[in-house]
Amino acid sequence: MIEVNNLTFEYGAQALFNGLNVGFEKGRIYGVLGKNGAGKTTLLKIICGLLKPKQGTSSVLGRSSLKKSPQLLKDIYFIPESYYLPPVTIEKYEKLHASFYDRFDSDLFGHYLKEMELDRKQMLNSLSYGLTKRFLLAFGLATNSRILLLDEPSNGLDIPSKRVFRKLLAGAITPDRTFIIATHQIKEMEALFDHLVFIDQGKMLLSKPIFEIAQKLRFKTVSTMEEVGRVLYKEEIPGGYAVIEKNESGEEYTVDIEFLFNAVTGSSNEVISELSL
Amino acid sequence: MELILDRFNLKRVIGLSKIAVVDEWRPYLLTGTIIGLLIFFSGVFLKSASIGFLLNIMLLAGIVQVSKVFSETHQKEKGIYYFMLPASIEEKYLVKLLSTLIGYYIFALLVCLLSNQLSILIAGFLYQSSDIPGFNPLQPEFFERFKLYLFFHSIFFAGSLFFRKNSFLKTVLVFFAVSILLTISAGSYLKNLFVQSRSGQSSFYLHFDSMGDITQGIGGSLGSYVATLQVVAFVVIPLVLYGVSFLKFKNSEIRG
Repeated sequence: MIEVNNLTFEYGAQALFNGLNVGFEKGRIYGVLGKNGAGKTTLLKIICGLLKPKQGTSSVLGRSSLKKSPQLLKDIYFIPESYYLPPVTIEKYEKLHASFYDRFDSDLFGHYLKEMELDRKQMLNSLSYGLTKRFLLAFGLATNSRILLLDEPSNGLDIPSKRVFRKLLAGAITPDRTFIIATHQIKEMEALFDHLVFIDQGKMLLSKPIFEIAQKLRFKTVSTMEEVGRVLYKEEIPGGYAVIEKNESGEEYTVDIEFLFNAVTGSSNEVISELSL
Repeated sequence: MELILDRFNLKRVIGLSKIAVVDEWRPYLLTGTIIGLLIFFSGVFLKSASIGFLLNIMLLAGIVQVSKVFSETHQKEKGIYYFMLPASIEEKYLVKLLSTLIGYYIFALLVCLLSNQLSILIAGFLYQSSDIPGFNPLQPEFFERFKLYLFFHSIFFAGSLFFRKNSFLKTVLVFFAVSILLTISAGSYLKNLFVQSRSGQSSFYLHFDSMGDITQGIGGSLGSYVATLQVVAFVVIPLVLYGVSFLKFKNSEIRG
């Protein structure tokens, strides 16, 4: 669905990506994770065609992102971390923008607005940051775009909003859609992800479905290291250790994404090689 | 054909035009209201119609607005919103060009026409007769004025893309700098022309009977130069600047 090949991108003289390759399949919710400045937002912008790579290509649904064709833009909805919206009511916004999207569903939009506790009569410029994000998600989902890109979606959302946000996203994924969530706030979104992409220092360190990780690795917390067998990675935590060991039982264990991220970005070769097998 | 339909679609152009109006109507309405009121009151109370002058003021206000027309390319949030709208770059450019060039000019003429007609009507009620001159936007004078508006529009349209902040002032400065350079170059060119015209004279003093040939020669050349200058100003410069603006707009990125 989305193919990024041999991507090189620089901000001034500073190289951000150097030969990045990553693909995104349909029917999945991707978590694109990386440290601050790893290039998560830049990657989303390149996929949208908002930035031009120095080298390499980005294609979405078989079309080059750089062409910015209307047919492609209809199928990509990008919710950035900070945004601009015109000073109109939600109703007016819908009237102005829905016609650009062939598959826009006004009833569904009404349903999402209700779920998000928003009203069509509300002025967009009077909404708080969190409410505006809710609105953008409602509109984005109602466009029925096949690709939804979200940059740090949980920033600025209160606890109930985060819950509604997750619920709507999880309910809206279909076999022909792809949601890509770029965030560094892993805990708040981890329940949504079914595929992880880790980016660090311009390279893709990991791209694996959660179920595959769960089949290969076991995440445990122990009080002493004697309780565990062959450990691939460990971290000291209050009262003991958090460890990753090889999953030899074949059962699927819950993946601690934050811990896995630390292991992979901390160059734990054993974890990486275990996942590569 | 398929490619053209992919890049141009009337429905999308209309959609973008509506968004442009919703986004930008405030400054335009304010300008229109102020100019309209000035025309109306000067007509009713002073019985004069200095519409030509006020139209120029309105067009100048339009040029100031034009210098901000590509603010999306300089503002991250607005840029993401605008460039993610499902319309082609060509459509987005066309809407910006036509709405600020033709749309605004027609709007300015309409403001002048309506306020003039209203002032005639009210003056008729107040004084039983009205001798306020009527405004006819179809006069050739207004086509000439449009050519001038086109010239400055193309300059500030391009300036809006090239300058991130204070684009109006920066474009004015560049315009004056280029104008001074061109004036100096043209001056020295004309001086050479004059010297060449005199080159047949062997004596330092001009013979009176040969003066007619010289001035005729220069006059004839000047006439063709003025015609060339008009083509350059009202055709070549706008075409080049609109072309350069399109390429710059097409290649703009949302950084930051």
